[in-house]
Amino acid sequence: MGEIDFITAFARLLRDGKLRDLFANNPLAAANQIHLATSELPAWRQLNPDELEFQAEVLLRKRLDLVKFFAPKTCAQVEERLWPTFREFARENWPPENTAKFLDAFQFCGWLKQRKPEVIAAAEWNRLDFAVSNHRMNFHFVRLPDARWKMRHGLQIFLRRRAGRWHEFFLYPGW
Amino acid sequence: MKTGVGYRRELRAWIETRPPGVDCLEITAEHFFHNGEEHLSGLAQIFPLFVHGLGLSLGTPGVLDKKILENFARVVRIAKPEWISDHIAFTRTAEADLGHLNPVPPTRAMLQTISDHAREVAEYCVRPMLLENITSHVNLAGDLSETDFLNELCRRAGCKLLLDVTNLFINSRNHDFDALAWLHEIEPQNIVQLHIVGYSRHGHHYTDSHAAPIQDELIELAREVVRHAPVQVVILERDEDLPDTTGIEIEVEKLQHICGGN
Repeated sequence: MGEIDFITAFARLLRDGKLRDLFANNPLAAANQIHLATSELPAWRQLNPDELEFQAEVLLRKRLDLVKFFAPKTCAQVEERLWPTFREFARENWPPENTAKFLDAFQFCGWLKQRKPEVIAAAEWNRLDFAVSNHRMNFHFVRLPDARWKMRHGLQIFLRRRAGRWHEFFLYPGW
Repeated sequence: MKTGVGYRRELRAWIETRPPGVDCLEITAEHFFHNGEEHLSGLAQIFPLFVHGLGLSLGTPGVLDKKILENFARVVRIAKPEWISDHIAFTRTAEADLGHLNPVPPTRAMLQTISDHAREVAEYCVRPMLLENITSHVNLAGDLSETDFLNELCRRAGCKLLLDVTNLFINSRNHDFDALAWLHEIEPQNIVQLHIVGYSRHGHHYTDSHAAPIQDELIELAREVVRHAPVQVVILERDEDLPDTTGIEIEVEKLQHICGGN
């Protein structure tokens, strides 16, 4: 494996909580683990673990803002434990680049589903599940507020066009 | 000196009334990457626009992301801005997208990386480019002081600075340095645009949440910048917890105060 430059190494520290823990205890071991170029060691050694943790948390909070956008009801149902819960999940899970937008919310909700299934909003989970899949079509029976904000059973339908863009519809029986 | 606001969808109705004090708009390029061309074109007919980027990741070693650069240039062609800008920062590496601005070390190698990238963007977009200072919670060591780095960067890249007054203030508090001394180390002719918005606090840390009204000490610092440098544009950069029309007008009045009014 080739050596990596300072920016690549710094980015790894910011997105990997375990690596930050190792860095706090033994910066040289952390540098060796990721094959940091020797020429970059002086700058690496001067990083402050507390400052790194704060900078990393800024990134996590930005991620959480996006997760809240895609799964608002689920996040609201986690209530005041949302930040520590998300932090626990996200500190060691970084989504791959191109699918990050939906995948982070999908993976967080999947992680929550195993621990606190009661907080998952079914319609949001269905949407995220479809967004990260390659399915052309999917449908689910769910309970959702209608146009008059009355909770009703309905059919949540997803359709994906050839270009990859997808659409979501709701059908309420009796309308 | 022009004053204006960062264009946000939530401000659209208010902006369309052409409120006093809003001489120009700064649009975020990424907001128009996938749609909104017609709307952007309409805005460009009413206001002078400036195009500000979040994701060119000028501090990432290696080549610029061509797709992002093409999208950025397409927005520039529609907006026809006097100049364009992005940050002295990196948001991604070859391995991952960090989704936010992160600091770069003030080294000679980084000078080369950012100046090469800034020149490439300016040439591709056929527009002068400004580079903006960011908030950093990490102190990165380098061969140069931050101010020497910025002055040299302007020389090498043929760029000017977009000085974010709030970021300067926040860094000075978090890293315990004198913001005025820092300012006076910057060559005045380099500073042509300002960003300002209120700071937030999390315990002992100051942060740039872009969610608070401009505080008095920021106004004082911005006035000092205006005395020091030939600033041409001051932009309110409010993104979160946007106030009602009266609230936003109060913020715009503060910009006028910075520019020399009462």
